[in-house]
Amino acid sequence: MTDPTLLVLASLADGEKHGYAMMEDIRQFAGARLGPGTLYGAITRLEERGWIRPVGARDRRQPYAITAAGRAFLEDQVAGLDRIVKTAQRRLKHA
Amino acid sequence: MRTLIRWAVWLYPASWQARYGDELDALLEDLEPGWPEFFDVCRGAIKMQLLRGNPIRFVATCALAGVLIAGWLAWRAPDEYRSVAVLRLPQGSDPEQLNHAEQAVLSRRTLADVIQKYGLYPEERKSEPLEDIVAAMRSRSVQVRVLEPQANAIMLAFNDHDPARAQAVAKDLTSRFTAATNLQVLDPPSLPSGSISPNRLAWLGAGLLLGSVAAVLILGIRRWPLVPLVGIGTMLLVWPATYLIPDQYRSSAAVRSASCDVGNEAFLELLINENRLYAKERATMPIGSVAATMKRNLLVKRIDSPRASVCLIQFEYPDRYKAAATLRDIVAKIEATHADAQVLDPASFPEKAYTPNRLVLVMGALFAGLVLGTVMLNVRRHRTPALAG
Repeated sequence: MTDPTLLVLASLADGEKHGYAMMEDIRQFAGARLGPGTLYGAITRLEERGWIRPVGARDRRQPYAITAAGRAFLEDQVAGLDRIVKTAQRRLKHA
Repeated sequence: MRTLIRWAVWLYPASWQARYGDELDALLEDLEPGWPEFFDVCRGAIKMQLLRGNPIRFVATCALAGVLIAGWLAWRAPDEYRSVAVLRLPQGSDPEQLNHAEQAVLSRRTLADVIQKYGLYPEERKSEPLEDIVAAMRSRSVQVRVLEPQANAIMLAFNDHDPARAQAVAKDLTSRFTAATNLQVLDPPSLPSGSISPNRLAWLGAGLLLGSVAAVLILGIRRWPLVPLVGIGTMLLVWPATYLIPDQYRSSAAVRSASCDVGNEAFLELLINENRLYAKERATMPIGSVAATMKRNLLVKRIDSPRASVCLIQFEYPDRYKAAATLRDIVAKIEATHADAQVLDPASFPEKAYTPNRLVLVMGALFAGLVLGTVMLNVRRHRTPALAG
């Protein structure tokens, strides 16, 4: 899974985070290092679609939180990926 | 590096910078950015410009990039210098001498000798046959032009990347001219003071145009994918279809003769039978109609100059060997029937097809497809207003 929008949604699923915290989190759980341009491209798209929203900023580091629509989209995507992973695992076992 | 990336952030659309600029700046403070981050920000800025930026600003930026690239190429392109000499035949001399001298000096043998003597075109000589290099030299680098027909004055010019060598070769050609005739040198070959090409202003203009066109195409692909999709689809359909059009080869010849009459129907019928031309047409049409078809493919142009009358004859046919062989027969007929006829250029063997010009057809199809795509997009928007904007 390397789609930056899914990675950002997955990162925000357990609570609000600002840009740098998202980058570090994604690096740890997915092993993918998103560049600043890629990260903010994904944030722009997600905010436009209403899947994430900015929450009260303490300074210039703006935290974001996942919305209900974003959570529903992420659940849908994860279910799809889960089906693919389980099918692949089952087939590999029987191969 | 951080400063460089902050400059790159200016490439984002202004509205985007107003919304996310501070946040991105704060993120850069937390990072130890390197070149990958710089390129990532540049890529993100270009994508954002394509999707949300001001199209005029994007086109202007690409046009500027085109100008900068063209400027760099123009600056790297080698200068070309021209050395010019003016020669004149003394009063009372036969003007025909000019023709003979020109043919002798511009002959393959003479030019090949000059190429080797002065080490001209070293790069081309590594990969191209000398015949092609001589032909290119004759058409591009050497110029012989009549200045005043009444005074029998001619201009001889030679172009080269080295001004001293341009003058040396022009001097050599001038001396060959004067040795072949009693021409007088009015102006000896000059040492060029300035270059004649490249035209750097024209290069910059081309860069501006290409940059703008590329920007419009890229914008179109990102924002209105239907338009390029239909354009490219039409092009891909037309491209293989162009191979259904038979190739036509053109053989050319030049004959100095008082008469250029080759359109005699009986003679054309003889040629059709002897060279086995137009087999399909002969099976379905009377020979007179086939001869009329051949006449349409036989182009004869007469050029009357103060010095002579020259017939330029061209014959187009789908088979290159038959095109050249037929034209050779036509030239032989002119030589046989006109005592004064002199072959200046024998029938050429066409290496490449003259028509169809597949590149033009494919580019035309692309353009037509782009127009069609634009129409389809507007019709779709009209029918489904939600798509608008």
